[in-house]
Amino acid sequence: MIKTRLVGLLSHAKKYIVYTILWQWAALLSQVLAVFSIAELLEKTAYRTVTVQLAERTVLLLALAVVLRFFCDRMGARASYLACVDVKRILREKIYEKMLKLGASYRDQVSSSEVVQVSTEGVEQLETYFGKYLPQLFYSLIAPVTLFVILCRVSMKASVILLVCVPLIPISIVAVQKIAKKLLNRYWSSYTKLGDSFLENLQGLTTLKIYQADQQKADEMDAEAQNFRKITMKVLTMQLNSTSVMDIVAYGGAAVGMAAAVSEFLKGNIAISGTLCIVLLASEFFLPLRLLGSFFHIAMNGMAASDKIFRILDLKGPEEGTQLLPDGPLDFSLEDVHFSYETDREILKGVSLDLPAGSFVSLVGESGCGKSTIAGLLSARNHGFSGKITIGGILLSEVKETDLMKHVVLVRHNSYLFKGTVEENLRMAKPDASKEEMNAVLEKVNLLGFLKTQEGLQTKLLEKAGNLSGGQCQRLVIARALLQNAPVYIFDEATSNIDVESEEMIMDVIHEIARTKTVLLISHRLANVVKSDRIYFLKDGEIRESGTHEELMKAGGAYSRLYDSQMALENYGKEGIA
Amino acid sequence: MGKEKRNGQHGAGTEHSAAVQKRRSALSIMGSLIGLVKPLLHIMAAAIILGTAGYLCAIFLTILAVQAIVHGLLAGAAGITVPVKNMWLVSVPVNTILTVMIVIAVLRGILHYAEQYCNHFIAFKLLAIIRHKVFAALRRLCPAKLEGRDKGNLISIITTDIELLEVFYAHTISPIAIAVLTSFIMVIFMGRYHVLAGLLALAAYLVVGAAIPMWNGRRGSRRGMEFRTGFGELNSFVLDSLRGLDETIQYGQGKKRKEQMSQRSEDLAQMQEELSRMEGSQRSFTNLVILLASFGMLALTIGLYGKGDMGFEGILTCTAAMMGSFGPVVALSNLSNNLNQTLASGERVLSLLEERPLVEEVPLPEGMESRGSLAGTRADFAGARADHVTFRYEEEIILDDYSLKLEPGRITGIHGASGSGKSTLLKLLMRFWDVNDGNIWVNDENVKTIPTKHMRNMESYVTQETHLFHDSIANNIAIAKPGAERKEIMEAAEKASIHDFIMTLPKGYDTEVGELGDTLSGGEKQRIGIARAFLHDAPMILMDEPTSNLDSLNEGIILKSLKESAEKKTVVLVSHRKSTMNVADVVYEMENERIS
Repeated sequence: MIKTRLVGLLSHAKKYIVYTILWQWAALLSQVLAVFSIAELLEKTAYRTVTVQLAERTVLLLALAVVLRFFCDRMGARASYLACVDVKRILREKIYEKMLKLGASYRDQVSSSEVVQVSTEGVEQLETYFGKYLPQLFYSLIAPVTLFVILCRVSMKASVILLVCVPLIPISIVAVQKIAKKLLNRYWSSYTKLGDSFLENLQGLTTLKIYQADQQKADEMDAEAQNFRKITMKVLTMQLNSTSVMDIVAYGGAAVGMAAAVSEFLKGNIAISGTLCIVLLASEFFLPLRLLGSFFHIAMNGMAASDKIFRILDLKGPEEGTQLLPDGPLDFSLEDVHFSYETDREILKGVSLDLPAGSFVSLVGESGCGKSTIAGLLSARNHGFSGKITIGGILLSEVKETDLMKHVVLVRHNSYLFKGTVEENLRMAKPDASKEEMNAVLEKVNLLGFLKTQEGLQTKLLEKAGNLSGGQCQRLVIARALLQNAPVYIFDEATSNIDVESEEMIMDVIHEIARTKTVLLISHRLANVVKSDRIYFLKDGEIRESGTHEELMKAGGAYSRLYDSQMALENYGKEGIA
Repeated sequence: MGKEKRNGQHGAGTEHSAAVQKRRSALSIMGSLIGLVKPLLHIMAAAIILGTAGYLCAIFLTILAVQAIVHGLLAGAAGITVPVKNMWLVSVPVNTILTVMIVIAVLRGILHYAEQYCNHFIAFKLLAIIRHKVFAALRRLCPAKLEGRDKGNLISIITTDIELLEVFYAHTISPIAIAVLTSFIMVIFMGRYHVLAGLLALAAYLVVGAAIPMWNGRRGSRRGMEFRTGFGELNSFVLDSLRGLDETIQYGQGKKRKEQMSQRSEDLAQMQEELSRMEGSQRSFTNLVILLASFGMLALTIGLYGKGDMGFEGILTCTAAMMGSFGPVVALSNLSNNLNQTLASGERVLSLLEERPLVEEVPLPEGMESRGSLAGTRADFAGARADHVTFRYEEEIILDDYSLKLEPGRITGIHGASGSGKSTLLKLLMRFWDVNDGNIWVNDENVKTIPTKHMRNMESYVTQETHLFHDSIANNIAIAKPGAERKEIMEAAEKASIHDFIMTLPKGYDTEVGELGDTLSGGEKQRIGIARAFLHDAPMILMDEPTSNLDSLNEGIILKSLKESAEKKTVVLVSHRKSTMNVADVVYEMENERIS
């Protein structure tokens, strides 16, 4: 019911939860006060013994009750807000901190989609858990007991009946929820699927119209909706069962309590005022629990989310190295490196290669051969290899990660650009970069001209830089990497799937970098690697051939065959016309 | 860039024309929205009646208990007699009253169940109905409506609108009706004891159910919007930070990013504080009015009792009734915040449903088979031509007196810079839009008179980017020919040079596209698009910049398959890339002839 570790993590919220409960409790007392004074006034009215004094006192008490209630409501809302206001911020910060601590290889331990899910939906559910569910949980225990203590002096019998009925509500909810929980999962997957296919069919509507498949899709969606409704109604029937059981217990209990009070009255055991008090307050026994019941699924989700959050917070980062890298050019060396993501499928089967300081080395091979894994190992995105990797003569595992990041820059085909301005994205790599420096790198990647027609360095990027073309994005990514001015650059398919013009520009920049820095270039297009000092041809996790382009072509092995067939394709049109 | 920009204006243009339509009043929007769901009105009515009955059961629980007390007083339980005027409830035997109390308490649970069941039934049926209607409307309006830059925006607006409408139908209409009906019954009930009691109740209901929500809605809705926007922005910032974690670590920006995240959270918390204060004040004012009304009813009835205008039972009954009957109107107090937005959504959806397409489809003539004529058109397909075509969008002339002949069985290349109107020409050939002047002929027939079904059978169209559906690879290709056999699909894939790649996937043709995530490259996606065109097997294939986002290697693969597999087909290839033009038999240069 309560996650103690969670409450401990957010211990400052505890007092506000207590305040929320106290204000609610005070509001209940003001309600009791009002009912008692009304009941007394009515009794005196029946006996015709109302005095001016009594009337004045009643008015005064009621006014007090009104003011008290008004005040309690306001303070209660404030306390509830304070209880949950920091929940999201604190949890998000903790998760983000953890991710930074896990470092570049966080993906080894947790999928990024799970982190995203937990940091958005997960923490939101916990907000309700703190602001609403927890206070209500305690209040719904305190309220019936308070009422019992007050009303048992009026009629023990009726009060006992009311109190005894209260625990029936949580018992029935728990029973029904047990069954409902299983169905619920199916429901959500079906729900999201329905929304997805609607959205996606709208996005692809032009395609559907071109091929006249729109009618078919419309029918499919209708069938899906029908199916969804059936499942949902089943789930709802379960959930509604729990609410109606709750209602029946709440109102039935109140009715029985009232009936008991009235019978006592008819027998002359209690006075009119006492009977009225019980009749008017009977439902208050049950209302808090009923409200709690409506928060129940939120609490369930919140607790599930907190489990996930703690799983992430409990992850252990890799052993942090302490060695710093020397300044100046750096070399990499791999010796008999083995690596696998899953135990039974080895990706790298004993790779040895050298990346001398200041050299331009390329790694080629078909997709799935392990090229990107090598890039991941060298840039600390992947850990857990066997064999030996050194950088600048130091074992890779002993290098301090933040220092490694300063010296080795990885550029991928899907390197990320943040929402914000071009300047903000560039300054990531060099926070104190001058305007001239930034313009210079933009000029190098041929982006300055375009940006000048926009708003220059202040040009805004949308989410995932959606307002730039693929080629422009990639050129900006390269510009950012250039600003870092690191001794080692690794380009992992940095030019794939962008327009030819951008590809050429980027290759020019890479060749220029290669003149002064250590560069590892990974590409599926062999035309890009021709100028390398050394080319490694990778297949099935092993290095099959290596040498310069000329050497490999002369050898006439797999590399030369792949190169020829690619060139034939690229020249296809040109030959056709000639 | 230029081309996309103009397309964007196309999108904006249709948007604009929808906005120009006269604004409807809130009431007429609600009326039309209810009209949309006619087949469900009886269930809605049932939900309202069941809901009202449920509330009445809860309210009358206390009222009946009070009657039993009065009954006891008359029987001398307290040793006194009180004057009673209104005997209709009091005369019922006590045991019957107590039994009825238990019965209605149980009934309350059952009625609540039934009401909720009806409401959810309506909600899901409705969602299906509205989606069906919106999709049908967009099928008519597409592609002109969904072209261009604002496409994503429009789609997200539509999806949000539909969600909001669901809230309107399932959680707005019936609560309002239930509150009105229940309150009306209670006013009559109290009015039977005394007119003034009824009037007081009416006033109290109006204040709680209408005045306070409206007042709150007015001052809170703008703040609420601001908060929701800010909330959305913070969420996307968090998302952005997590997606870019690799780069953040690479460039050592973690600390800075975290500080920004905290700053934004704190800014938002300030806004939230104000909102929560407003919410607290609304709740406290609502409770204040409820208490004042209850105490006011007590004072009023005692006063009337003193004057002899009311019996003792009236005091108890009316006070109990007043205290216990605010449930349905309180439920209304949360609705006001969303109502304005919901109405705006409703209006957008209604406009969409009523919007007329830019190009009316030509139906098939009576008695003609839909695919029957295809065989005839393929062998002797006569090509297509544009004849002195002028096309303008709003004030901008995009094509001016343009003529072009597309020879059958040949690859015609159209080369030109971005913004020269090349893509527009393809869209006119597809009759996504109609020309302003001149004529477009396909297979010697004016496109304006060709039955749309026939025209679609004659033309395949490969777009700049291929849209893939969350389905298997096979089904994605089969979009172009519903019910196609696996053999045909594989043949088409082979022609598009994608077969070998598909066979390397874990489940071959049955691999779900979604499972591949980002692993499909632009080149592979584009080849799937071309496989569709080959499967469709139309005599004419239109290709709009099929290689613009591809590297030279992928470009080569696509051109090769196009050249080798498109034999005897009439192909129009539009590109700004010289290299792509190399496979064309004839190349036309398109100058930037637009007058702007």
